[in-house]
Amino acid sequence: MRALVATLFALFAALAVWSFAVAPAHGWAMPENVATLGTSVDELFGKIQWIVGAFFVLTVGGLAWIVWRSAQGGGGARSALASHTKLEVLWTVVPGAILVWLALVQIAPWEAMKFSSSIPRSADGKPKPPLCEVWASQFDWRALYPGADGRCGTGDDLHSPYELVVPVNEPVVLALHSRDVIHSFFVPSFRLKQDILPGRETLVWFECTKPGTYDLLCAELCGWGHYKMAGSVRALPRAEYEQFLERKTRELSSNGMEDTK
Amino acid sequence: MGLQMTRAPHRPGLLCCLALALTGCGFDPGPGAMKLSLNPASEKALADAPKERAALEVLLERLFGTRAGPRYELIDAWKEDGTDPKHPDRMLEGGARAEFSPEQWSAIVAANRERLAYEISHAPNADSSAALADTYPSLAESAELFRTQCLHCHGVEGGGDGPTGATISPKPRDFRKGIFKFTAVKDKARPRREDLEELLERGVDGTAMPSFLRLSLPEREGLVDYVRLLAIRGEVESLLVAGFQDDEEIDDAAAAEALEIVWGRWQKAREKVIAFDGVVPPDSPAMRARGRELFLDPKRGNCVSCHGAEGKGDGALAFKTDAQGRKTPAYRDDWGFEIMPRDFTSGVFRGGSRPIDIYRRVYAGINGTPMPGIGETKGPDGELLLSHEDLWALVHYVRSLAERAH
Ligand code: HEC
Ligand code: HEC
Ligand SMILES: [Cu+2]
Repeated sequence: MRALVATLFALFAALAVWSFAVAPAHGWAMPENVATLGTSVDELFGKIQWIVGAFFVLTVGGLAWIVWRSAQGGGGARSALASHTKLEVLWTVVPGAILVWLALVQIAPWEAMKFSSSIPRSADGKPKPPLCEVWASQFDWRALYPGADGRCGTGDDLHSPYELVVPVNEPVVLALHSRDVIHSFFVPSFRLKQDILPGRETLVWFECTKPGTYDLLCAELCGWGHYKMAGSVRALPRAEYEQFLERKTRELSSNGMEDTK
Repeated sequence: MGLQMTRAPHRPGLLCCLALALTGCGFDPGPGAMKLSLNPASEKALADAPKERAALEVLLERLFGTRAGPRYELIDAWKEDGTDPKHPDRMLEGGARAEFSPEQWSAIVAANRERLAYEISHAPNADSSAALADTYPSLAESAELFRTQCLHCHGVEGGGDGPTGATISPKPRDFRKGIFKFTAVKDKARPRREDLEELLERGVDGTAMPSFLRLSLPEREGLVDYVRLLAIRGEVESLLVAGFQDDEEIDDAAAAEALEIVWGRWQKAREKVIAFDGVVPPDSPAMRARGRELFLDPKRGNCVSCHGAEGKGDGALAFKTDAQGRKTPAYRDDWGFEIMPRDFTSGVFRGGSRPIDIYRRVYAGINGTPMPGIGETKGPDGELLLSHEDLWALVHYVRSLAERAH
């Protein structure tokens, strides 16, 4: 019986390692990263995964070994108070040191991504103004591009429901807003996630490196319809992005005649 | 698409079998489960006429098929029309794909070029018309997509009675009346294909109705076909029941006639598009001021009576006072639910926020609701009450109410 339990423990560890190893090939892993800052997130993720993986194999393997040994009658009885001071110091200090090290190496990527001082600058040295506002509400997304007056919230805004359209290969700053409760702006392909609080403007930035359409999800349980709060981000070469804005601008003065054809 | 909310392979799968095996209660849908049921209203009307009720079921199934095999019965008039590639559902049962010649497909693609521009430029294979032809779903495939994406709100027969629908307001649309709110057409005409397509792209802002932009264009087109099928089926059904109540038979002839009448309603949409043959008068403070005057003027716009002086949807007509002195909504919509005039200051326009969208709402009203159209209303002198300029002034004023204070 104990031998069976030990084997199961060992199998479990092997299965976990195997599933991580084959995940990318089966599309179980994160989607391809297509943003500049995503690289540092992936590196950090990779490091943490190796460390956690190693400890996982070590502990579960150790457990399996102990169960196996005692199933063979080895080991003998042990007092509940028995301890091994050197070993305990070791397994407290080593993981502690690793955690401190992780806390230190994540500072730089975090700063580049989230600090307001890291918002990319325009040619004049001032922080780049937001490309558009992104409004989250129960349960949808809406991008608002400023019209000729350069401001959002006015009659000449260009509305893009459920679809955020951005130019590729240049830094894009977004102003996130919520109409009601807390939502979270999540673009897995950009490795970008940011909570949105009602009544407050939150800036995020990214630079997408590959034209395409990516998922835009809400990552904060925001009510019964949270599951359907899914939109997309469409990244276009600059010229096509300009065409998109032009088409939206043209729609604003549409007289509807094109619909009669 | 990475995380797909759509088109996950529809495999009931191991889990399901496992669950069934564990609980021991097998699930057998039985032969009746794939049927489309009758409208409860018909059940009521035919409660004492089992023969007619049975005839109605048989006829509807013959004309429109079942959930598993939806179809359109071809009637002679359509065969004479020939096929129209913009209306694939006009063609034979089971959807269209096989029926299109290469020329017809190029016509469809040409007609949709602007909207397809993106998909064409990024299609994995360059021959996008072939791609579209390959991916245009059959009616049965669209019915399956409807089942996974829409049914839990809109119900099996499109009656707006899905399980999720019970808890939300406004209620999901009951397609069976053929009444749709946010269209580009006047005189309560049925929506154009394009109206439904655009609706599926943008959703209905401020309601539970989501956007389905993440589906592919052919998938959305297919859903439009199926929504139209459910609506036409519902209308034919109520025509036949109304006929029965006027002592007419429910038989083949009556069904064919009803189908032609209903189809005729849907065909008229194209002649009823609301458009303004001229340059849209631009937004300006003067236009807004003029719009505000009309909005408040009880003899002209009189929007104030429902929408209130500030446009907050709290006009005098919006409420009634009950015996306890409580204010409750005064109006109900055609589906029987309480309804309030829109609060424009919320910044939410359900039917789209472009000036042309608001123009169409003001011109023709909103079907199925008390919101009146004023575009062709005549004054006491027999002249149009409002000029085109007046209408656009109202549009600009209403849109200005939705602006954020700066
Ligand atoms: C979460 C619930 C929900 C889902 C899912 C849903 N709808 Fe709706 N739908 C609604 C609601 C609510 C309305 C009514 C909005 C209103 O009255 O303003 C609506 C309205 C509509 C209308 C009528 C619009 C008009 O102009 O009158 C159509 C057509 C429609 N939905 C089609 C679909 C299709 C097709 C799907 C699936 C692809 C779908 N809906 C999925 C909730 C839903
Ligand atoms: C009899 C009452 C009534 C009057 C009078 C009335 N409305 Fe409405 N209006 C409504 C109701 C009710 C709705 C909400 C319909 C719905 O929920 O779909 C509405 C909705 C609207 C919308 C909503 C558009 C959207 O997409 O959300 C607009 C625009 C509008 N009204 C403009 C006007 C204007 C302009 C006038 C005056 C010319 C006017 N209304 C007069 C009752 C009224
Ligand atoms: Cu959310």
